[in-house]
Amino acid sequence: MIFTIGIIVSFILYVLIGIVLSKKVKTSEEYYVSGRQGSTLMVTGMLVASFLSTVSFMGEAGFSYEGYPILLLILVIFNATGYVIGVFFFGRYLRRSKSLTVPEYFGNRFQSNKVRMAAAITTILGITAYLVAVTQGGALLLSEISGVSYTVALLIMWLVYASFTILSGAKGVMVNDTIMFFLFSLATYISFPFIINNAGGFPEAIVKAATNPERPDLLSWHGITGPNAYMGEPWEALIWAIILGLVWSAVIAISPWQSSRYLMAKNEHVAIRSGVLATVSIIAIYLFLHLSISSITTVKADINPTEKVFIWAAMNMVPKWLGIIIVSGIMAAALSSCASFLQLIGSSITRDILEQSRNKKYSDQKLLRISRISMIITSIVILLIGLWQPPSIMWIGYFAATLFAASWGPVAFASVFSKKVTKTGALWSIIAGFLGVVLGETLKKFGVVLPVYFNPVIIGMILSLLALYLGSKFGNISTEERNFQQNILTRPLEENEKEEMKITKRYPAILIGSGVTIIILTFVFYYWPLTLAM
Amino acid sequence: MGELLFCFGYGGSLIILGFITKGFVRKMEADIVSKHTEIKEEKVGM
Repeated sequence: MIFTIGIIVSFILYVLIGIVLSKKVKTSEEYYVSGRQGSTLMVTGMLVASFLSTVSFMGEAGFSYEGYPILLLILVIFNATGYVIGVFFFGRYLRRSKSLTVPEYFGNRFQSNKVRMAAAITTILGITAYLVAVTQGGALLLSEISGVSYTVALLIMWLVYASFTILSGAKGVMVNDTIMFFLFSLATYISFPFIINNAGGFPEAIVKAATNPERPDLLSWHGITGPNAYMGEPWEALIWAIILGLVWSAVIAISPWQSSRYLMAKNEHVAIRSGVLATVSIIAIYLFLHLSISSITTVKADINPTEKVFIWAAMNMVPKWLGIIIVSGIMAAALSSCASFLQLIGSSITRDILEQSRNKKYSDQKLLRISRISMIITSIVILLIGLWQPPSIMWIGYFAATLFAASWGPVAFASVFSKKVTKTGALWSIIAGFLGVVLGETLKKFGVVLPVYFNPVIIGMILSLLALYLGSKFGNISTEERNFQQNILTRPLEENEKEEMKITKRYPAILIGSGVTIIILTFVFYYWPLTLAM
Repeated sequence: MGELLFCFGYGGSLIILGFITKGFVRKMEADIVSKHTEIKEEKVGM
């Protein structure tokens, strides 16, 4: 009961913030990109909050609990690079374009409505699938904790995230995401000593996890491998982690729910600093989360479904007050992603599909009204799909996210740096990448076993690159396209550039210092106990 | 051995990213200097 009250209190807070901020939303720019006034803290909060969701705290936590915590962290080594790569190779250029949506950027860059439409349609399809998976994860959690049915839990989830997103748009999402970022970060860090203590104290808990007969090889770098395990051979496990890590890096760098956050940054320095802080946050959160998860296996090895492992720990291994913070934190991770996703889908439907297909420009007030109506309709569709489709948190999430790496990856980077890519190449690259992933997933559905290095996203990426290259043999590059590209390649200087640069110059040192700290922490909390177990 | 490499690699990735960021920030700083020089030259030309 106490957990339910905690969650309800946090829900009320988010909705109230949405109501209050809705009164401050006067223009479409405030609704879509929060007036481009995001501070470093807020953009960092949004980046991390829209990335971490039930996929991380439930889906991946379950995967880790089944025997792959270190393998997952190896994947994170590669995926976390996406923030720095993303902001330097795509995010800051996207911000310079002053677009309201990412498909709008593609449309303006290639001076093509078709390219904009293709980007918008992939946004809507991909993010809808991701939103369904995350909403279902949140509903499962809410249902488990409160005792209400899954259907009722799904309805409550929908009501909360849809209400504050529809009312206040990016403004409310920005504030709520920052609060949620603090909540789930706090939950992860504070729960670590309590879970370790409950599992036998330090370093015994880690030693026990490493020698647990129920999960042999749990803390080895490759996790549990063998004929009956999810991973066949250690080298296959490693290739899986590297490939998916790189794919996720691309997802972080260019996906609409990550790159669009830079559109809200106050200036380019803020975008860069946020990318750096988001990298450090992801690396630190994942390390402590998965070390906690591995020690839970020594206390209870048969949690089923495994996706509930962190929730079980919140209810059984830590004090009640902390349990409330953890479950509210996981709910926050789910809600923050849902809000960002809904906001992106609604914006794309209104601005990139409705406005463009009717070939007219709405007035600012009409755009605001239609955006809200689109979001209401979209959220209802998501709710219905969530009710109809059985939950599968991690794998739907992975499918939907990787879709963007293949579909948008090549064209996003080429849009900034290539002077040879034409609108035909861009259009077919987006379509081929999308279809490639869907084709690969369909083959898997029909029982075709693809080798680990031929993941559907690899098929999509190869097709996307081929289409980009071959398609760019057709059509010409207009002067407008060249001018647009030249404009985004020119860095705007801020009024207080010297002061801003002085602050930004500290950030490489923050990354290096954090790296050294993380190495020490990994040695102390992982490697040293492991040597004791040998 | 793999576990030890992981220990270095996990935090080490941040150190590498730190050096990459340092390179980019230096380039940004150099851009400011060249832009200021351009502006000064334009003023002198006037």
